Amino acid sequence: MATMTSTSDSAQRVQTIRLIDEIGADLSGRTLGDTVRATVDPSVSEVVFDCEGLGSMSPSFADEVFGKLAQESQRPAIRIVNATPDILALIRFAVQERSAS
Amino acid sequence: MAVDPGDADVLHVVVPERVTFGTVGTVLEQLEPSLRSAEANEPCRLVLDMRAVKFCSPTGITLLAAAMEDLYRRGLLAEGAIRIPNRQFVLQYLERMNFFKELEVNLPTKLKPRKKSKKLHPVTHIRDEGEVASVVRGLVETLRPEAKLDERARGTLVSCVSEVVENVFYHAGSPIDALVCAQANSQHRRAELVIADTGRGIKEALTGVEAYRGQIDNDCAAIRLALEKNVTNTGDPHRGIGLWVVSEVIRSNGGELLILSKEGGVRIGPNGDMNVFDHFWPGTLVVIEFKTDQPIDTVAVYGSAEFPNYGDDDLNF
Repeated sequence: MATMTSTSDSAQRVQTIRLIDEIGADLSGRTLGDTVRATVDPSVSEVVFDCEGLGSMSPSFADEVFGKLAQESQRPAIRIVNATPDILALIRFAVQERSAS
Repeated sequence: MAVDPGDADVLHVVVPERVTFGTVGTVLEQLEPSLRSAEANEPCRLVLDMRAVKFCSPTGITLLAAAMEDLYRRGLLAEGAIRIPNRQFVLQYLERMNFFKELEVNLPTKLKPRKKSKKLHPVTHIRDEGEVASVVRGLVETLRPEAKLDERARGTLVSCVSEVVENVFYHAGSPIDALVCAQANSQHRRAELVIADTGRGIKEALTGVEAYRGQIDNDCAAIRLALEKNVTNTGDPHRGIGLWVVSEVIRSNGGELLILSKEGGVRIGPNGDMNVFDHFWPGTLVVIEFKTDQPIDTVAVYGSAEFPNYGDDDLNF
């Protein structure tokens, strides 16, 4: 999984995960989602998921990555960028589903 | 192939003229004796008589291929024979759809080669979860030109079909894994995607969850329950989204959804109405038929999720 960790001016470390680079444009399945979630570096202050170029994301993948991350109490801040309206709506949905409990 | 059709012990499956989404019940009635004997692990002798077939849709092809393959794989087809369709164009179509290849049938005459069709995806096996993404992508790409799918529709379909196929590997334990097939028809402005397995069925999968036991006294009830949000056999109340999303997407498109599972069947019609019926299928079969001249997307389905507003383009949590 290709990720990039950078340091900002305020010395806060940011990890960027460009989903398309290593996985491809269509993201599906809990196994793959579990792999992606495992790449999140808990020591950084923020993780940016760059969704540029993605064609589709399945609900189970979204739940496995974003829904489960939302449930974790000790985790970096998560930012989603460059997502299509459908993918953004799905990720919102997955996060809300897990956050509601 | 040495079956004597006059033998009283030989099961005769007379395939009707039209094997389509709309005539699934008739086909299943014909297949039922052989499917029942397989369910009871009893070897059977079978003649699949397709001589009268004039038209076969992806639903019919997948259903017949999956049923026959289930018998082969489980060693229950003691003897079998196929009587091929009389009509040349039906033969050619079935060959293009990999039907005879799936059943390992050698045709007596060589058919004229035809150009590869750009609007149909032949019957294809998906053997494990790792193959799901590439096969489903290919399936939807095949439909794309004929169904005029834009990026949004393409993404929605890949997402929906992936969910259904993944269910086979997560929950079904199917001897034939998953069989998929698809075709678009621009004349009727419709496209059909089929996913079949011969696994344990929805009811048995859900029976392990105590909370559902009182609600699923038959297979139709189990299918209807599985179409609700957050119904899952995993014990995780946040899972169980897949079939619910598929049904909501198809309802908003005005398409149709058919789910057969063991003794039950549920069909969501173009007006969103739900009908149940009781034909037997030795696993789960899902048919998604969508209108190609109507939008197909998920925003409305997921739009109910309220979320702190951090702007339209990004999301933070």
